[in-house]
Amino acid sequence: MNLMGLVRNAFAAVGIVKIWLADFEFRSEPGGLPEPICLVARDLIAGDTVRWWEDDLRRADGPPYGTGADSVLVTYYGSAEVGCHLALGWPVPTNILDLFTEFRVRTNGLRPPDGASLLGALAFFGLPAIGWEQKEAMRMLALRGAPYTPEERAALVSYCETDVTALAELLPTMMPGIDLPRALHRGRYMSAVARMERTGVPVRVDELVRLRRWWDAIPERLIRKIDQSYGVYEGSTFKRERWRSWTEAHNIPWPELPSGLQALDADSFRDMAQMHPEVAEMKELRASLSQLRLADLAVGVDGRNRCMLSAYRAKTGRNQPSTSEFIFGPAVWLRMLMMAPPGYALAYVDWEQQEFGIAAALSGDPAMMFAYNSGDPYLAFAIQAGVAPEGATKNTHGEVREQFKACALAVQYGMGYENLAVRIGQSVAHARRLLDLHRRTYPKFWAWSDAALDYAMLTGALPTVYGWEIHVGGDANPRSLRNHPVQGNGAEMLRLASIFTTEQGIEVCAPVHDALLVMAPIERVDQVVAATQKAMADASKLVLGGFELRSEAKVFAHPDRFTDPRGESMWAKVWEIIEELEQSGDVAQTPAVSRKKE
Amino acid sequence: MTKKSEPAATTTTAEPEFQPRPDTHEANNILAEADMNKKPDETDVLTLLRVSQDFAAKAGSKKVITTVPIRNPKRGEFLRVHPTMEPMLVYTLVDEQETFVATASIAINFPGDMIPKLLAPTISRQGTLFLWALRIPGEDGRINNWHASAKEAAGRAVRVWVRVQANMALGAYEVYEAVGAIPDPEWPSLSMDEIVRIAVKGRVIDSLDHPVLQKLRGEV
Repeated sequence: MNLMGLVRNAFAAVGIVKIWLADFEFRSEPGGLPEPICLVARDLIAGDTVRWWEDDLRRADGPPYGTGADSVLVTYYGSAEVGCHLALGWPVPTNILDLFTEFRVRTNGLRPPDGASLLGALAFFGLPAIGWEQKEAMRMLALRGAPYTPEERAALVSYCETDVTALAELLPTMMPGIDLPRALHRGRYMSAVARMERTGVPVRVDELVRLRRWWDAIPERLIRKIDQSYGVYEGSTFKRERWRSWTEAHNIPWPELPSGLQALDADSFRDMAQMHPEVAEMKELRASLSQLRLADLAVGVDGRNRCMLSAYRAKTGRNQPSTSEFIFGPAVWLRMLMMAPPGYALAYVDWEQQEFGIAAALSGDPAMMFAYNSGDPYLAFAIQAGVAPEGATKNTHGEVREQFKACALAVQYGMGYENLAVRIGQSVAHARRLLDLHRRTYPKFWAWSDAALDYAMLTGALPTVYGWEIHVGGDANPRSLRNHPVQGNGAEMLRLASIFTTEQGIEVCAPVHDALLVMAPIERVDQVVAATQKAMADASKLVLGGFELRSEAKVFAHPDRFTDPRGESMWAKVWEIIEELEQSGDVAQTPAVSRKKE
Repeated sequence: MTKKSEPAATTTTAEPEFQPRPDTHEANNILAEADMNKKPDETDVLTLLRVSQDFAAKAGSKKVITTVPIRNPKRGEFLRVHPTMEPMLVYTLVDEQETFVATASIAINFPGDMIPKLLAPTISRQGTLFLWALRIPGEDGRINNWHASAKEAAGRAVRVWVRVQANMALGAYEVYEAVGAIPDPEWPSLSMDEIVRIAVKGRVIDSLDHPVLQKLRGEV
């Protein structure tokens, strides 16, 4: 069979007649913008190959291939290629077929033996590839930067061309399994990612420098300061038995491991901090001590936090940026470093109760949709279940609302009644009753959720509305499968909103789970927030078949910093310590805004 | 900048036809059509690309009822009686905690042992289908308070959710109606014959040689 003809026909069916494969080599400092070094592009049909070095790239006023609706650029992790387009001031391709994304969707939930890199994909399909060592050596050469000898230039271009040759092998092999219209939709998101990565998140560099300067001296003092309220540390060692005593003394039922020991992982602390605010500071402290590597926070010389957003890396299809390089990592207090530059404002726009709304709309459960539309779905749930009276409010039935909120969230995360009991500090029987009330109140949701699991187990895959599939592997987890339609469609919604906003020219600094952080001149911020909220509403209607989710916005105009109540106390304590240290005259560590990765 | 020659837009007939995955057919066609009529409306295209999330319609499963107990309501259980299915009169005989049913022609040979009962299709709030075995008045037309109150409760359960609770001092069941807007039950799509067939599967006395009758006669 003529595979090339198959590829051409597939594209022709969606009006695309020019097919180019391309790969850039580029370097970038942590937090910095990409600096293209060379480009190799191949016209798949004519077979011509273009090899442009850095000076060719700078001279050109556009790429050697078309970027209009009748052309497609085939890439492997295309946000990098679009990032180079943006760096060069070139137009962004209308159509991108990203084979990384398509390989991910094809193997999502399974474990391709060599991972999802280009070499992994080639190995998966039994196609020839260069060795890992050669690839790594060339990557390091690109990162090293100029000046390059003529031999090094030739080696880099030649290496770049091996990736294009790999794309030429991979494309016809993968094409029969590619759902092209939706694949192009997924490719469109890669452009949005490139734009968001380019914008980056503005941070207070002066404060980051001080934080880094003193960070080595901070943890010990921070422990002393925060542990005054807990008394669980011995030196810098967290003592399990003391934590048990503290939780028991504060009547906080803590989740336990099968061994009977308390679960002290980050997720348990995060969950418990949501239910018991008095735990929040300890959660922040532990996250900072164990996971915060300030040197890795990727901030460029222009004071923007930038890192690879790692689109489509999570099973749900969500982005999975490095927790240490991205400012929206686990240490919430660190987010208070974010501040818009003078004359600008940041706006954090998030969907309200996004997951509840998705579950309601996609299951078509009328009671659940009614609850979402009430504005307070958790209280509405309590009223619908007959536990709170009509007219109940957050003030009159706050405790009931909290329990029903925990129950609704537990359902979303596939939590059993034992864990729910721990989270709400009630008996197992009480938790069982709450979950039973959920089943009775929202029977259509449960029938849909059961059907989703059945569908996955019967057909081997479960798609979102735009075809992001999770495949059922040998170690399939029914809980994850059941959760996929809500999480995966949440990811679809955020991708659509990212596309709509970035294509309008809105400066999106970062996508964050169910939110977008955008930036605008102060005098235009209201307008930009309104446009962002409209884009998010449109995205929700498209994903949910017409059902609209609400969003809310918090605006932080310079000189106000971004704030998050969960991190405010910790932030204040860290700065108390820094001021003490600065006044003490101790010798600080060498500051660095941007550190090269080792 | 060097401009590369543009590739030919047409394909030759010798090349294989691309066969898109079945679920992309519609979207492919619409996209191609839309493209011919200039730029398609983005909302329309994105709406067309939606994959249905109605998993039950695509490849779901349905519950098959294989067991229908014949019993009285459990303590604390709220229930409804089917509003249109006529209860079925059967003669019952309990042997080692199992309820057997017999035809009238058999039952007539065992007066006092075979108890006539009405089997009313009933469903609990948890969705469990069962046949509520209700006593009917004896030949003298009399019925005790326990049985009368159960019958009264079953009558109410046709319209509202009820639970019954034995009150020993009273010598009858007390009936509690649910207050509040509890939705009506979803009945399985089974006929009365099918329900009874499932309920009495393997426990029908249709011959005088049935082992249970042999045991009753002291023959086994």
